Amino acid sequence: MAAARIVRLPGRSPVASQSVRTGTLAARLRRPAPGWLFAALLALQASWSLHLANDRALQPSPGAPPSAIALRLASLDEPELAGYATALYLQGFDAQAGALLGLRLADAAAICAWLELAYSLNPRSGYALMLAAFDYAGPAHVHDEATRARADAQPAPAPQPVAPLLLDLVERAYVADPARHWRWLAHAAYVARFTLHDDERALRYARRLRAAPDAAGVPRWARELDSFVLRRQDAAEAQRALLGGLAFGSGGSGGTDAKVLDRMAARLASPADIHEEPGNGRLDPARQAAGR
Amino acid sequence: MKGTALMADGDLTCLPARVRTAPGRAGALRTIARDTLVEALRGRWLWLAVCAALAVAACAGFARSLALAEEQEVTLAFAAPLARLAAVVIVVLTTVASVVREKSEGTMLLALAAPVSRASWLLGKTLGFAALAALTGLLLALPVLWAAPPAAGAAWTLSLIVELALIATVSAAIARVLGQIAPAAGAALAFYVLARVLHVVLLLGERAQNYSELQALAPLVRVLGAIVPRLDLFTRTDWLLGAMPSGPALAGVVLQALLYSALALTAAVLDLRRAPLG
Repeated sequence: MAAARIVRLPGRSPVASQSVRTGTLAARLRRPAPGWLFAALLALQASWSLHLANDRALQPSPGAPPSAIALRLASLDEPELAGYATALYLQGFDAQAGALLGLRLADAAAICAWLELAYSLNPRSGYALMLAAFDYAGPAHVHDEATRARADAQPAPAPQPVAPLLLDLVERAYVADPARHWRWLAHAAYVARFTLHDDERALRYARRLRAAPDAAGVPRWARELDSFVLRRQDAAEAQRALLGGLAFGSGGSGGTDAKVLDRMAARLASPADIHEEPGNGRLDPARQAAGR
Repeated sequence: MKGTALMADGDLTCLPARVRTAPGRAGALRTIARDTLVEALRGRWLWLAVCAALAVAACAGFARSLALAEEQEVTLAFAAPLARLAAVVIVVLTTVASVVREKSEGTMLLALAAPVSRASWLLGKTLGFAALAALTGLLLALPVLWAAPPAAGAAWTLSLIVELALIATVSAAIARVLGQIAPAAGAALAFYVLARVLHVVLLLGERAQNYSELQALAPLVRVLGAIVPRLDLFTRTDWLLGAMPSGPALAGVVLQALLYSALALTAAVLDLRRAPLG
């Protein structure tokens, strides 16, 4: 078969050349777009995007979470992906537009609902339980106290406190799968005792750990949490005991996540961050400006 | 002679000649399958798969950097679904483009003039697409295998490969029927999404039994559920996160893939017999 032959047509037809010479608008539009026009439009697009990026306001609430089934459909039925993505979204929620929203100012009830969603999507993971017990229970308690103080000053009834709900999420997860989630129930007992000052709740969690089935692999120190951690008078001392137990006495149930231990140790070193920082402990200069 | 890609450039006798000189039916099948792979390579399929694997690794690495705990689990929970979806999109687009090009350029008519049956031609193409699916699956599985426990990673990769082979066969059959890239790729991806989420829709339907307007759709959804393969049972991310599949479960996945691929191939043969010049 004969090869195709490329035939070059003249660049400008006589009519077009005449139009260009006369400089009509139609002739100018027919010319190829110049480089400077492309650069100008690109600069316009970039400035528009920058304008939009600076036009955000801090939102105190992540809003109501979507339904679990909607997230499963949206993720093509990948509940683990949806669960971790939900938890990571919530974890980064307080970092908005380059500033950090104080967790005390955030909508604790909505955060609790998002954590419930993350756990229900991925119940094998302890990530949502970590956020509930380690990161959000403290700030939620501060939020609850402020809400109660406002309600005391007014005739309106106080809303239900959120911090116990977060700890109860951990308790439910433990009941469903003690082998995976006993660590966070131990931490929830510590938070109930030393942050919420709810001794009855702390002892209830300790009793659950004591009654754990042998197959769960709960170590001895966790079964005796009330004497090993909860009876201590000083919160830092109790936290040190808890950290030691998690680091060196995880029994036959596998080691505790090294990153979790690092975060616990960092919190012991700087206890002022206990109610503030959900992230990796780095302080953002914009925090003060964001209302902390 | 370089196969179908050269045929499009004007060497119209190459493929039939190769098929004619191939030693028997197995040789013809091998030649057709190899030409299918060569054509995909010339369509930059390999570059696309490598770029997709790098993008998956970057996304998973980003998620890992955000994780405050369970870094390995977070990495796998992001890498596995993204790799699976990227692999499916690449296989669907490559397969559909190949079949439609073959149809529009008349390559298939020339091949059918060679002494191979239509079923053999389709089987050879299907083997080529299966090899393409396997290589795509292996490439896209690399970011997952890097972080996964070996046994779980192997089971997941095997399942991904058979899932891709199934979807390649279905895509080829759809492309032969529809004959255009956009509708065929759209239909194949819609089929895939349906096969992934149909059981969730059925779950929703059970919950919505009190709504009379939705009940009319229930028989249709149940019929679809019987026809469409249960791809939600394939290549599950929770296999990588501690819930290893049992042997029978994995065998069921492979059997389902073989059965549905045979079904799609038979449909393609029937369509080719019905309208060979289409």
